[in-house]
Amino acid sequence: MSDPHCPPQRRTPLWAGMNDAARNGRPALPRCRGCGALHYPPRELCPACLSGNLAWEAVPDGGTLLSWTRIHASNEAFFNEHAPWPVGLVQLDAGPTVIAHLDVAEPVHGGAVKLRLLRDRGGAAVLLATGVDGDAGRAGLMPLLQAGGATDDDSNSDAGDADGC
Amino acid sequence: MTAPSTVSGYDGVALVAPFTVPYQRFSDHGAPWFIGQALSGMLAASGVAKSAVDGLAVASFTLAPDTAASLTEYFGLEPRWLEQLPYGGASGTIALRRAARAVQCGDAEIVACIGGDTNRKGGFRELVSNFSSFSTDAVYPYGAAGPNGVFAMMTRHYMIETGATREDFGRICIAQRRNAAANPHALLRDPLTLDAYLDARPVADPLHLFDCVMPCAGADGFLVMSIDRARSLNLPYARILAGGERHNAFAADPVQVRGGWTAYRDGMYRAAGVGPTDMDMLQAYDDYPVVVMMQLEGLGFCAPGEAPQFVRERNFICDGGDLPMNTSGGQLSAGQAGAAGGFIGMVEAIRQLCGVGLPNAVPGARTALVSGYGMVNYDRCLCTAAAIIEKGDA
Repeated sequence: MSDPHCPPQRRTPLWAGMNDAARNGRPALPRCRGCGALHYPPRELCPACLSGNLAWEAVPDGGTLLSWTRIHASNEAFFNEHAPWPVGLVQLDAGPTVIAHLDVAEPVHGGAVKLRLLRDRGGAAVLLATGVDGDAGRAGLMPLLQAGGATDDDSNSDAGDADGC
Repeated sequence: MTAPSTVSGYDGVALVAPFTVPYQRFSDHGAPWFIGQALSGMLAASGVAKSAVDGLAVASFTLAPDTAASLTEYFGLEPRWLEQLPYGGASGTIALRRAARAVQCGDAEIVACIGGDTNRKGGFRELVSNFSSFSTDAVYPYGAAGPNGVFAMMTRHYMIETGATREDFGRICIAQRRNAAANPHALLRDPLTLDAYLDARPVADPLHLFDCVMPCAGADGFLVMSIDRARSLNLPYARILAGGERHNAFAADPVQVRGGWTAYRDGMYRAAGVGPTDMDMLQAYDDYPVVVMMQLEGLGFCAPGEAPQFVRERNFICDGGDLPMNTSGGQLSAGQAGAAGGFIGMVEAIRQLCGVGLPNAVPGARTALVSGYGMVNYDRCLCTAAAIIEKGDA
């Protein structure tokens, strides 16, 4: 059974760069050194030119909210414990589209959001979209996502470790 | 995007022996049991001996770690043509295209095409939690809703862009449930009212219970052989007029609003010599009502963005509707037996064109369009396929 106290921790090795970038809090994407394209989700080869010469790069944190939902029935106990769980689909100003936890009180189709990259209470890097212009966010979402007293000392962490819950 | 000017024909190919292994909500059987029951059923229905089956095409989510190769030993087959199709809801239509070519060029004479899956308790969660690399990294961590979360967002976006309402989606679900009343295999056969549809519990808004398929166990399949062979066996058959497929189409669309059908549908209709208005029925992949709307648009029944209006105006019931659609009730009524969902439409179409005395018969049906859609690798399904089939002459 899934852990009611912890969001899903399993990631593929492709996510390692996100875990590293989460130290800075800014979203990062793989950039192709060959053709310059950014892509998401992370791959080992550029989807535009198939080059393997990629480097993680911090990107501007602005984005546009394309859609959202509140999940009432999840496959994971953590999200069912705190249902309905809000997620959004965001097109980054940098180009690619991401799915993120949505900490926006009043989602607006086509509205501006800010993307943060942070470590959740299990230690995995996750994307969080927050409102702009004083949107208060959803009460209680941040404490749920991040354990109280969670440290940023993640030098021993690998992608896929359930080391925080 | 220009359609190809010539499309190779599917002359001489027959589709026979449509067979459904009754769906069950849960089962302790393995996937091979369902696939093998389908094989056994098709052989009994057609009089074809197991030893005469020299081609096998299989789609299944729960077969692993076994594969189509494992099944040759499991079932005691010695095929000279073998395929496994990991294309989800597009698997049946793609299997038809692959098998037809094998028969046309002589690589196989009788091909069994089957989609089948078991459904153990907890099995769906297991499947969804490990569906693809992109899903593991970039979807599942955000609510772990599986396809429901992705399609909820796609549905909301589509509603805002086109003005589609929940009532519009409800019309599709209600009509299909009406069609399911005459399908003894459908897991959901009671009439669905608009009130019940609207009041059903939310799953991932704007999707509510009856917007979502019920995962189950089962199998659907058909045989592919030459028309000469079908006639010599005295089997009613359907023949293929045209087909097409396209994967990862329109990848630059930030949210999916159209699937790959647009890319090949003009060429497909031209090759078939018919158009959307000539179709006696449409079997559209129905994992969610918004996907049905995207197929109505992508397959040329209406313009992009116009499916909500089209759905308000048209009647999809099998007996007397002006566009019979998902005439066995579709997955939304029958259940989704894993990869069998990629075959249910094709099998129903063949059954309608070959069958006699069906309780849900479309009167005078001669032509069917079958459409597939599958594999939500990240934020949209990647695979699409479609085929136009016609009642064969004796």
